[in-house]
Amino acid sequence: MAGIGFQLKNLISNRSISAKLLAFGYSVVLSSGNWLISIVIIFVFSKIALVMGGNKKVVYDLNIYITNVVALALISSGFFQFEYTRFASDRIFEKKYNLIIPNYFGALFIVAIIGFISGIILGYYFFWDYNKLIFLLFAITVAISSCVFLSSALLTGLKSFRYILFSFMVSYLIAGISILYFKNNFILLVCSFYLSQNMLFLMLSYKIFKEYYSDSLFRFDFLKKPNKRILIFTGFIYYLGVWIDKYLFWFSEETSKKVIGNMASSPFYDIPITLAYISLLPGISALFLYTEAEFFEYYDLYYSAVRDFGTLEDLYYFANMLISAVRDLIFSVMRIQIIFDIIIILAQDKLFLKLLSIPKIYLPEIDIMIIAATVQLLFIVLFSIFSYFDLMKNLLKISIVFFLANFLFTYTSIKMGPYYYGYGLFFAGAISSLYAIYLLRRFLDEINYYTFVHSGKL
Amino acid sequence: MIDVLIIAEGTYPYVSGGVSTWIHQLITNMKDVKFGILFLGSRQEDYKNIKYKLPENLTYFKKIFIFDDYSFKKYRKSYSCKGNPEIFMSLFEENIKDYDNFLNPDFYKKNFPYECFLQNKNIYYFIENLYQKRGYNLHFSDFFWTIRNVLTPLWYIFNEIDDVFNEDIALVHSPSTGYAGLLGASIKQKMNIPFILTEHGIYTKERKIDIVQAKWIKEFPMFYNYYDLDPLKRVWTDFFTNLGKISYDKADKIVSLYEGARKIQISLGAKPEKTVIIPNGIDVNMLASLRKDSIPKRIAFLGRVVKIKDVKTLIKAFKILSLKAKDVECWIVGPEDEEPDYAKECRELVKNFELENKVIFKGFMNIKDLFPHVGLVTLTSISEGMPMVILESFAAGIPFVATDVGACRQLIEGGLNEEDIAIGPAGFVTKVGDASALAESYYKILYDEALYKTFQKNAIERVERFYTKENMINSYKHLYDELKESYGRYRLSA
Repeated sequence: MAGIGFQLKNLISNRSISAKLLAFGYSVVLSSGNWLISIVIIFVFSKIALVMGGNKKVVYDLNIYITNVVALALISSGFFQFEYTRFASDRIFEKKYNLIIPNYFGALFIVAIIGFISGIILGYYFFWDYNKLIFLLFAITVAISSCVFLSSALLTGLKSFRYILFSFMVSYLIAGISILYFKNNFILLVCSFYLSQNMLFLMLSYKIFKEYYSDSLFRFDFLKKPNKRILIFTGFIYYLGVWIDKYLFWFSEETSKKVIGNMASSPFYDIPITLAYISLLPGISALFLYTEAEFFEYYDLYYSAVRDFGTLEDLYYFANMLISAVRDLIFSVMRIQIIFDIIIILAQDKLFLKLLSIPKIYLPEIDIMIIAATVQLLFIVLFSIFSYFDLMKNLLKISIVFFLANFLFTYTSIKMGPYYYGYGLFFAGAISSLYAIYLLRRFLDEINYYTFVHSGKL
Repeated sequence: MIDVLIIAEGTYPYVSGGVSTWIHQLITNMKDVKFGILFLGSRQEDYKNIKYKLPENLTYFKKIFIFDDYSFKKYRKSYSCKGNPEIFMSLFEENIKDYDNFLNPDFYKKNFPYECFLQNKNIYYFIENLYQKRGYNLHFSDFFWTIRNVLTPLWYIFNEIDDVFNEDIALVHSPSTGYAGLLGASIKQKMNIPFILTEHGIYTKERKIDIVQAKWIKEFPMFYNYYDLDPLKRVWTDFFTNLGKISYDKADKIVSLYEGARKIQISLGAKPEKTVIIPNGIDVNMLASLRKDSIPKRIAFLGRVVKIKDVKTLIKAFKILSLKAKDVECWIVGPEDEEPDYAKECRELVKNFELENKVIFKGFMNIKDLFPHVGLVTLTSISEGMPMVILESFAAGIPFVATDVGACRQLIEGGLNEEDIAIGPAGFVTKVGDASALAESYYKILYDEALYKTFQKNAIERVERFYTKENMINSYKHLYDELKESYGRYRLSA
């Protein structure tokens, strides 16, 4: 029989609907927690070390040092955190498990080099004239920490969340205990932090090796997917946006104070923002919880309807449920965070002045920072929703807006003087969240169209 | 300069089979006519080797792959959609009226460029509207991809076709409707040249069978009651029926192989005055040497051992026959690998009837080795087009018994014209599935020598008079000449 209609049936299988994105979305949601854990643990142990009679300056300097390492490592690994995790979750979906480890090595290799080079550059400025050993330790610690963040991004994608938490706890516990031990010797503290990061990296990579086998050592397949390369910039810009306000404060003459060598701190900003970020714990936890428990159920229902059985009516029905689930997710997380914020602000006298013995002068600043951090949480929620829907171009767009806004408004606030510190982050979060909500609405309004015709378009 | 451009959809020269053989015959037997082949294939990798020795008078050969994604790998960033997508609705409606757009290559390039077809919001909502308008209750994703997949080839074809329009072509000939027929209609319209449509089977009818058997229309045991799978098939058949209607409308001549097929064409919208019957022809001389005087008491069934050939009825008929006639054998000649379960059931049936010594499964055999040993050939199919095996038996002087499907009655009893009927029958035609009628027919032919000789004479006369290869070639030659003249072109033959 003449005719090709026969072969049509072979081609119908190209329905690539985003079941595979789950791991990626999950990873983005959870990796927002990693640095929070680091900050919390170091903060708690510093307080304990101070209570136990540690040298106030040494402990405080170490805090600045660790924050600098973490910031630089997050930005350096940001290039591949999203891109590689996305690559890995695709391969897991295709059951090509043997590609995970060789590409993990490939990504580690690049991330370590980027981390080391940026560590050398910033470390040279900070410590070269002060102490060559600290300079070297700074560079290698940034390199190893970059590897840590890449590994934990992969593991979160694999839902090994408990193990990650456990690894972070153990290694930071060691770093924390060493504060108690070496509370007066800065070089030893820096060394022990480096060793704890090594241990963390070994623990995380052990888990990865245990999960997967490999038949080759290095591969760079993850660089070969042109349509995913956009995530390289997204990751970098996103983390740059998260840290740009801190760097501006550390590098502006008006606000910074040299601590060790040229490494500076900005007490008026650092202390409030640390406390504000710690206050995000309930919101971040709620984000994990609601994503997993409620949002995911409707997300899964909608996409399995698309894949397996849904009539057009079903698709509209489940799409509406999914849209309500998105709205509920945002509202629930923000509601919990705002209630918590109100409690903190009402109880601030007792909490900050008495319990944490923070000078009264910081209080107005802390209030603003708590609100700013809450707005940033909204941005994180939206960012993770975007990653669930694989809206890669939109992820880049909102990251750029957040970075630019944070840079611009924070710089302006520094120039305007101490009364305005913190408003920069607040406006950056608010504007980029509004923009993200606008984009999200555009997507959800026509979710069927974007799902079928061109999800890569947004 | 191309005298005749043949649009081969999924056939010549890559796939061997009835239509390809027919095309090859046409080209090799008209040495003074310059042919061109426009091959429409699904994907490049599906066609590895050319199966025929390409004749010298095949002077133009172009391939278009309608499911490859190579040509559109790079989407253009900017494109514009000028048309209203609702226009595509008519391709899926029951009676297509306004279709000129679909024949115009600019429609696909300017109004709806490929990127627009794939990405435009309105195109997507057109598919939703179509779904709603027809009140479907099926998996939307299946529906969506079906619509996409049946329409996509149009862009592949019309984006690759420019250099064909630059050729000097005198006539376009499509051996099927479908995409090839649509393209033929478009070439005719654009270049103002005659267009012949030959249908070897009825595309939409066979497509229907194909769709019923298509594996990808998944079975949902759990949801079976919930799903009505029929609508999806209806989408297909409506679409391909409409493509057929467009080619019927534009064709100057619509050729069928036998009267029954012509009637179906007319019922599907072909104008009766355009229709003409040109039966397939065979190389009679080659088979004439196999004629013999003896009547071997052996019946041959020639065909694949599959359900549609109804081999079980044959076995039952033979059982009835064997009660009366002890010395008869039956050979089942044809491959059994296509439906192994069915073949196994047939063998079991033979065993249960205790006919193992008399009914022999021979597998594939060359007819030159087969015909000297058999006195009668038979087909018991549920559906047929125009089976060549009847003509081949006739050429070898062997009567035929067949069920009343396709062109079987016309071939056996004569039905081409008055002259053909006057020759008389060359065998018997029975109802489908009627084992006792078949048995009776076999008995009459094999055990009545006078009747056998009459049938033999009629068979030879009919095939030599009407169904030779030369006849077919001459008919097409005349058709080509007649049409070219009416379009003001020169004659082909000197």
